[in-house]
Amino acid sequence: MNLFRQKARAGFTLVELMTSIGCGSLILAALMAGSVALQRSFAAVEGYSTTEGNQLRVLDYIAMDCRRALSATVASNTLTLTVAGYYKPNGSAFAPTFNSATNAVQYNGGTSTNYTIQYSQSGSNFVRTVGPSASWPTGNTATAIATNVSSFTVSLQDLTSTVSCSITFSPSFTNNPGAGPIAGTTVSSNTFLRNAGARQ
Amino acid sequence: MKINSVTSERGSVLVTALITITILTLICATSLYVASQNTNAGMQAASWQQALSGAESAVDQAFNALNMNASGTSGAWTNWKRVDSSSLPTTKPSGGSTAVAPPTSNKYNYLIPSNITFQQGVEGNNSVSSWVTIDTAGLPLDNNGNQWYRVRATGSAGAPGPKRVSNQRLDDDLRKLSLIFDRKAGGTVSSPVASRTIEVIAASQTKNVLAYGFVLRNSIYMNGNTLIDSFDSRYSATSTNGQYDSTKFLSHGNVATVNSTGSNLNNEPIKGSLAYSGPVVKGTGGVTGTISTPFNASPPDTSDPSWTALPVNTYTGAPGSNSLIATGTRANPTQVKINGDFITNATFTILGAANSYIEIWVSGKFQTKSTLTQSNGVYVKWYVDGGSITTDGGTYINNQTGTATALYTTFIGVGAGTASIGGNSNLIAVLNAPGYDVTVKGTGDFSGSIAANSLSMVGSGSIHYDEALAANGINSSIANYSIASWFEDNSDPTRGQTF
Repeated sequence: MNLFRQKARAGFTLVELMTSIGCGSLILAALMAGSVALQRSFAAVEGYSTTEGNQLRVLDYIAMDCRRALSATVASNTLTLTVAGYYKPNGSAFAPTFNSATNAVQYNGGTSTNYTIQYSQSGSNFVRTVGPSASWPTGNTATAIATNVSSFTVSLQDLTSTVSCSITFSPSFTNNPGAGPIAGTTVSSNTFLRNAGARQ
Repeated sequence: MKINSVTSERGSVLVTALITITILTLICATSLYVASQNTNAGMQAASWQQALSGAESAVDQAFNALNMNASGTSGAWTNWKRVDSSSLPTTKPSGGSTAVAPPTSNKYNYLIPSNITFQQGVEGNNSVSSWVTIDTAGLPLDNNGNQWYRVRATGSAGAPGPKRVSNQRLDDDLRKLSLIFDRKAGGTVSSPVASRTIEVIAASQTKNVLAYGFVLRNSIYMNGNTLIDSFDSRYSATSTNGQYDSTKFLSHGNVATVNSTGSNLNNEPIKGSLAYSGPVVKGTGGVTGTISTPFNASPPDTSDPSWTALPVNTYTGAPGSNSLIATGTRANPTQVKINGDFITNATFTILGAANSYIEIWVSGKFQTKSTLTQSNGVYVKWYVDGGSITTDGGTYINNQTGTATALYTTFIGVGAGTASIGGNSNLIAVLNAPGYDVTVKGTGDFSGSIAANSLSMVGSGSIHYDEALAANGINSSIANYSIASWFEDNSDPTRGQTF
């Protein structure tokens, strides 16, 4: 009687098992390391894209509004731009008219109705407030056009004909392999008020 | 007896591997998708900027054409087309006739500049197209009688990538791209495009040759008992009924010369400043203001009128009736052409109601041998081609009152010549004759402003600059155009959206 008679089985020896476990561990470690690196790289790229998008958007907004502004004032680090009412309630643009009394051109259908656009920092948001108007453009609305803002400074140059803005964004990707903290990114703009000078 | 009998040997390696691969694939796919969105947003932002550059460059082309036209430079409207329509196009225009001049009302000129191209084969958009129109926008003439123009330019840049909005809604609010729907012209677009339109009002900037009092291309000479000073016809404190009063004189009778060679003031009184280029001016002891150098603003050339719209009354010599009648307006003055010399041997009168305008073009010489009177309120502008303007043989009466009375009588000396002013009478006028050698003599007074080649004052004559002329652009010409208004037209009436 053979108590240990078994069917023939294929199997691994202890050495084979140890070898395979070792190789598997190395592969898994490499995969994990690669995955972590990939995630960090992705987070860095995502942070860069987001920050760059914020910067471009902020600069585009400020440039567009300053160029068409009639005047600009700064109070409590808030930029207030006065612009003509270029658009009718239905969305179409007014045709220009000429004011012979002032030898200047008007864009608001001669109604002398102007509007304000404000830029300010609210917490970590950079806010653009349009209004006041019930019909143009969309009422008195405040929109956070950028996030992660750590500071905003604005000043007027050249007898209020140029607006100088400086916006600093907090670093969105904080893993720093080197020494010291990661600095935020600062963007600056100097925009000439093309419509300043009592053109309206 | 069966011990350690194993019947199930199924493992989980394959399942585990599949799950791992699936998870990793999902992570990679998500990363690629987000990265693709970010790239797409970046491309769209870049295209948005490129479109504005295209529009701005097209505006520059328009201003270049207007400025070249203002300066009389040939080729100002090369490649420009003109369309007879008061409605501006919403898409790239076509057709029309060759433009040769700025547009008049209910017409527009347009230009399609060459595309701005970038390095070929790179990622992203590599070409920006643009087009620009110029029209009057129904604007009336400005207070100087000049036309302003509306310049509308559109720049378009392809937006590479799929027809997909940005993953950032705020970007979509700012940058309104035409991904499928053409938001400016309606219809659909074959491929995504960033299109931006800016509207600029081009305002004429005038160069006022009267701003400096007496400006010369060459020498100034004074000798005898002469005087140069100023007054201001706008105010009673500085004038009497708008005319010079020796008890109310001012000290802004400024004199300037581009080439002072041969100049000598002989310490005669100039109640004003002197500016010059060239050698040191002699005898400046009578100059009460500052003396400075250099001075390089040479008075521009004058030219004959370019009458086209209205009929011209033509005479040979002075009209036998010894009178002319002004019935025109400032925009459309009465036009009179004198072939030959205009010499008044008898009393001559220019009649007309107040604020009527007349332009008289003399192909020969101008000379008053008797009394020439123009009615109060009548504006008379003389164009003299014959190289001689003489008013000291008779009397030219301009008894206007009010502001800038000298503007009621303007002499435009075309080409080179001489002018003799004085006698025993007073002449109130503007003399714009940068090619003329002007002599002021006798005991008469001249009030107004002079732009000439040279000025010689002898005898006891005096000349008085009216400072009101500097503030009045009626006698100025267009120097160039500047931006009076700028805005980006983001209107979207097709879809009823407001910005």
